[in-house]
Amino acid sequence: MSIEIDSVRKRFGDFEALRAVNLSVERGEFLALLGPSGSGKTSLLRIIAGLDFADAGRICIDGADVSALSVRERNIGFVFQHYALFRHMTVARNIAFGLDVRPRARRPERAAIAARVEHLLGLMQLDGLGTRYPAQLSGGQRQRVALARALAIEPHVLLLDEPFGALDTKVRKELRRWLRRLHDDMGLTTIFVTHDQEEAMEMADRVVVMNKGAIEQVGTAQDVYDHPSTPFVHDFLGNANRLPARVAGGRATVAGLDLPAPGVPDGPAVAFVRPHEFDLAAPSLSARGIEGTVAHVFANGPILRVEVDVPGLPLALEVEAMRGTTMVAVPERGARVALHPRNIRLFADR
Amino acid sequence: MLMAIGGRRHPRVIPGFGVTIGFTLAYLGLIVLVPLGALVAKAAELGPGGIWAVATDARVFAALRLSFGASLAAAAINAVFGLLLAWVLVRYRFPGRRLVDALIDLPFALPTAVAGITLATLYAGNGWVGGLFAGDGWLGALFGPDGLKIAYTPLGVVVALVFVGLPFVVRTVQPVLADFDAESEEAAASLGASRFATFRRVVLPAILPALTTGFAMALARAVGEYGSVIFIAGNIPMVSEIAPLLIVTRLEEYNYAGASAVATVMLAVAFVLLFAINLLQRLDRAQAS
Repeated sequence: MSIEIDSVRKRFGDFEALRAVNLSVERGEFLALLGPSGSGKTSLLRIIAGLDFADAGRICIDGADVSALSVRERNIGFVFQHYALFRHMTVARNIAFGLDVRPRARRPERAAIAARVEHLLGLMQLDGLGTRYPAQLSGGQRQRVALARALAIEPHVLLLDEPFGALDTKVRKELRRWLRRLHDDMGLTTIFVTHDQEEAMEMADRVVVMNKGAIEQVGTAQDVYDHPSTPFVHDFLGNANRLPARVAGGRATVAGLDLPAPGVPDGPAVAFVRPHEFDLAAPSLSARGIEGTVAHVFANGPILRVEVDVPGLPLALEVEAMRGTTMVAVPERGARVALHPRNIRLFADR
Repeated sequence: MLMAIGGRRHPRVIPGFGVTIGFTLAYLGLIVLVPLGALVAKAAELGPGGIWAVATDARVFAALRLSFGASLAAAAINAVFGLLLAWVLVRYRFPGRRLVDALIDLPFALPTAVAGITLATLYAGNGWVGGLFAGDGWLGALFGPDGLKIAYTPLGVVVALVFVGLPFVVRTVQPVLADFDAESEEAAASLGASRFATFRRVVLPAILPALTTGFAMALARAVGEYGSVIFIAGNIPMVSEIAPLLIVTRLEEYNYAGASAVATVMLAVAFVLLFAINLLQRLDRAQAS
């Protein structure tokens, strides 16, 4: 089902949670709402679900305006951050809940409900756990029960709030892949909220980066990573060195370097360079680079991370390279080095 | 208990099982078992036949029936309205909420005789509330030409017991309700459950243990209540005479064995009731864990 979000606003007292958000989600898409806490991503998800209501704007699902419908009328699968399983019910009863509470006319036969529960247990790799209580399950199992419960009512839209937030790294990685497969197999339209950029990048068809109640950028993972449209997105997605800069007449001065800056207005600016976009070399007169002193060297498996103190910069610059490729030799602490950025992105500093 | 015994073999962080269990048993014995034992011993002077004769005496039986019947009714009323009060206090923010919250405990603090006299005055045929229900009052007309008599009837007994038992249910349910995860309710709604179904299938099972505890406490308190009831009850033998009053009456007649026989019967019935409630809770908990 396609979802259309049309200038949705939401305030909580003095706090503006969402400022006129517009977004369209394609049928069958897997979308990540990514942002720091307080960016409005969960508020947006809850408004799409009908758990909260917008102060202004519309939500349309498959062209029909559902803004006035309550959550129980929208037939949307919602998975809560802390799962919100019913503790006094067995796993099977939890999963059957959405079918059990239907009015008699629309309720499947008892045997049909049992068969559906059995099918979902199998699908979620929870075979044989139907008679357990949620307290007897591991975190990853609870997560899958929550998912099975949400899918039991056969929703076309699945919404997940920080679905893997409470799980350890290994389980999280497995579940990500598995959820993505499930989405593809069942033909769902899925939106999930996360503050973990890696998770968003790995799973989603498109990533929606949110900040302070507004959408900063929408695009594929590759797109937003390679071509961030705002300083915020650049800062938030992946590590980046942030350098103060000045732009005058189409040229920028960044840490002593003079660079072309087409399209950036004159005045203060910020430059971003990702750690792996630096070449590290010994200082030389022929090729001018950013000169500094090596403050720390961390060897993390094949990756070498070097921190370089540069006079005049408030923070040490972070440089990353695969061992034995761009770095000729492993630099030593205290050595003088020159950094040559291969890629710099400039933004006017507002 | 089993876990504590296991703890002797595997030392715990905080030791002292032997000392604490010894103290617990000695304390319980001194405070609870010795007085109750003395009571039963006194009653035993009559022999089992004698106690049976006392219990089945028409006046005693009527008093016991009123005491337990009215207590169960009052505890049931308190369970329903106490839950409602706790719900309102936990779920909503309104001006004067703290004041209402403080008012809940007043029945605990008030001397029971004061409560009894006040209630008797209010609910008598010429009192403020009693007047409304009298034959010529607004509400009384609904109950026929004579209206509804509250004071000096079993109904008055129930009113007094509702008053003294109110805080128990509110105070046991309140913290559980406050801890209850609101996301569970939202989950139920997102699965299509109506408000009523959400309450009955999700909220109520979660607070049921606390609610039954509150019910049991209100019941226990009501069975033993004396001061607030005797003023409003009118104490008409066979009609509105409660068992505790009958015990006092027997004492005033220097019939100590008779008094303790009635008390022993009360004790036995109360024990069976509370034990049954406990058993129900245990079944419920076994299911949930």
